Amino acid sequence: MKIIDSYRIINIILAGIIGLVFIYSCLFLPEEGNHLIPSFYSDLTGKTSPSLGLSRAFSALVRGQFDLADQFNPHAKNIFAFLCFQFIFRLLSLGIDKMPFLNKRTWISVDILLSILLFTLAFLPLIEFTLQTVGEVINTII
Amino acid sequence: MEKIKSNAGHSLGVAGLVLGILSLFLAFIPCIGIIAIGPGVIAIVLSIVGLVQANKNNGAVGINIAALVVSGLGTLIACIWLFVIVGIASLDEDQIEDMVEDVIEDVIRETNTCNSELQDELDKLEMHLDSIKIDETIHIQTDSMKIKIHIEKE
Repeated sequence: MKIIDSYRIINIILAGIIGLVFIYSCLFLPEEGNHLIPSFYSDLTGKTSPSLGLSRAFSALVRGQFDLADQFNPHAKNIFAFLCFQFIFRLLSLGIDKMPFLNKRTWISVDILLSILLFTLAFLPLIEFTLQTVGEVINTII
Repeated sequence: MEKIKSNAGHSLGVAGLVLGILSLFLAFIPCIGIIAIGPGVIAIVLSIVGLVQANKNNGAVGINIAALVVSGLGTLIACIWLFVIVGIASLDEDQIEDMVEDVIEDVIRETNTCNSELQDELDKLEMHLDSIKIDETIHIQTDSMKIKIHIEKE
């Protein structure tokens, strides 16, 4: 029976998805603002959210325009750095079987912990906003 | 006798976990959080089917449970965004009008706060300004000085 290496498959798919995010960011110019993904939240509520302008900021970041990216979204740099780290880590993890000095189980544990920690740090303003909204929704229901 | 582990439900668990991670990632982006419902629900279905298959055929259940937890969390947060958006969509015209007015008032208040320094300077200038007259020359007279700017046409 063929053994499925699920960790390898997950790494390939996640690296592919992150790669697609980078390609999407490269396709559109930040100044034109004609990105395909709209902000449903801002369109419907008329309020701004911490993720507003993220696509344009990513487009600026892939072109090395850091100041412009900051103007579009101040949190974009952290999120972009997280995605870059994840992309590199996924690619490195693909070759883990070729590194006999590394214990695969330990590597996966480090991967999970590091990913959760960095996700929390990079997405902190967005998580805070989400939790705030959750609180408001619960208050409305009660 | 120890049962031999099979691959039952393993592929579904992997698919569920990837979609679950994707849904959790999307759910925390307020602008597109609602989209996370799609991959989240698919991931829940896949992981439940995978879990059932794994239980029946002595497969690995760990990956299916992880997929179920991650996708469940992602879907829950996405549902909250849906709740927020549906709640706004169900408002009548008057309520929407009130909400828009509130937003406009907020913006005006924030703008005034940002421009308070400029307003202070303008107030000071107004206090010091005695007279201003414009003909061919602009005469500005304050408490301590007189300024004349002569305009010549070529």
